[in-house]
Amino acid sequence: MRRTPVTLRSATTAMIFSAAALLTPAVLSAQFTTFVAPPRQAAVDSAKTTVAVTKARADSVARMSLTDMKAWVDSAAGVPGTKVATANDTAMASVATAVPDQRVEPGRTTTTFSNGAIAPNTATPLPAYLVAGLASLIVGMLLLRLRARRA
Amino acid sequence: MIRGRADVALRFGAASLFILGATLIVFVAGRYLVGQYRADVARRQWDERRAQALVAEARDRANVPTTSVGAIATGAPVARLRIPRIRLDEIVIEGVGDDELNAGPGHLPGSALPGMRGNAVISAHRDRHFSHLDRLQLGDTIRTETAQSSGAWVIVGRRVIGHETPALFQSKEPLLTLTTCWPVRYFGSAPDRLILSAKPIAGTWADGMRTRSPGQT
Repeated sequence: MRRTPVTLRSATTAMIFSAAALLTPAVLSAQFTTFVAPPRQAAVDSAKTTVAVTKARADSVARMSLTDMKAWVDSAAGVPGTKVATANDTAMASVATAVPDQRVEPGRTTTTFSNGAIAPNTATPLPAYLVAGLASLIVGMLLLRLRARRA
Repeated sequence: MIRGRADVALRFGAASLFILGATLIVFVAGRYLVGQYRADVARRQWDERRAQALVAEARDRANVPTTSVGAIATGAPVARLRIPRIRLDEIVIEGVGDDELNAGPGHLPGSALPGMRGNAVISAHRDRHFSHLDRLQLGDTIRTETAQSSGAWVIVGRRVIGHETPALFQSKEPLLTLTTCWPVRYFGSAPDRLILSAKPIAGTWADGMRTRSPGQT
């Protein structure tokens, strides 16, 4: 059997080719994507479209509800609006008439009266302390009796 | 050897539990005693203040000018609260801090005094002065007495809300709001609040406070 000598040069070349073969598909996949043809648009009836557009423009309600779409989208996304609602702007009006935020900071206590304040903190741990104290005494007594029996 | 160690552990555990239990019980009893003492002091102060008010009223009738009442200090008695149905007769103390509520029902600073226009808020602990507040129903009567006025109220609202839910609102008309923790029988820190609203009963206020009868809207 004939032996082929392996040189450093051939080994380095083989490694470079192997690395290129491994990495090339990844690089190529990032560069080429499948082409998807857009669906064909249906034939537009120009007469009907014109009538619909004219009707939409004449419809003040529809027109007003489409004003300031950014504010509407922000409100839907929960972003607080900064603009003041105007009388004619129904989209902004819907933002302004939203239910007022009644969330209260956790752990807040009421010490003085204010409109919308939570009730004063009347929770007390004293009954729980009393029960825990009595329970500790009883358990301690049981332990002493157990010790006396063992003795 | 092992039995000796178990014996020591038992003695140590029993002693620890005894000390812990005794400490807790003494602490709670001390708090209750201090509260009772402060309630007695507040009742004496209230009686003195009522006597002074009667003197001032007599002077007013004689057209002698009297000094006006300044800001109410925290811990001072401000009113007397009576609820016949649950046999409650307590002196209301200014403030809703731990010390005030330990001594008696507390009047929320900034809220109206009972009988004045606005919302008068009185709170108390469920294990102390308002321990039977859950027995009150719509239509029950409450009597209040302050240095300025005295009269009766009828309960027109009863609701249970979360402890972080807004519960107190301004009112143009005289309104009395009683609050305590809910459930009344609960082990630990009660999560909810019982809110009772009362409106003044027309004809029971001798000082001519503008009131509406309960049926009016």
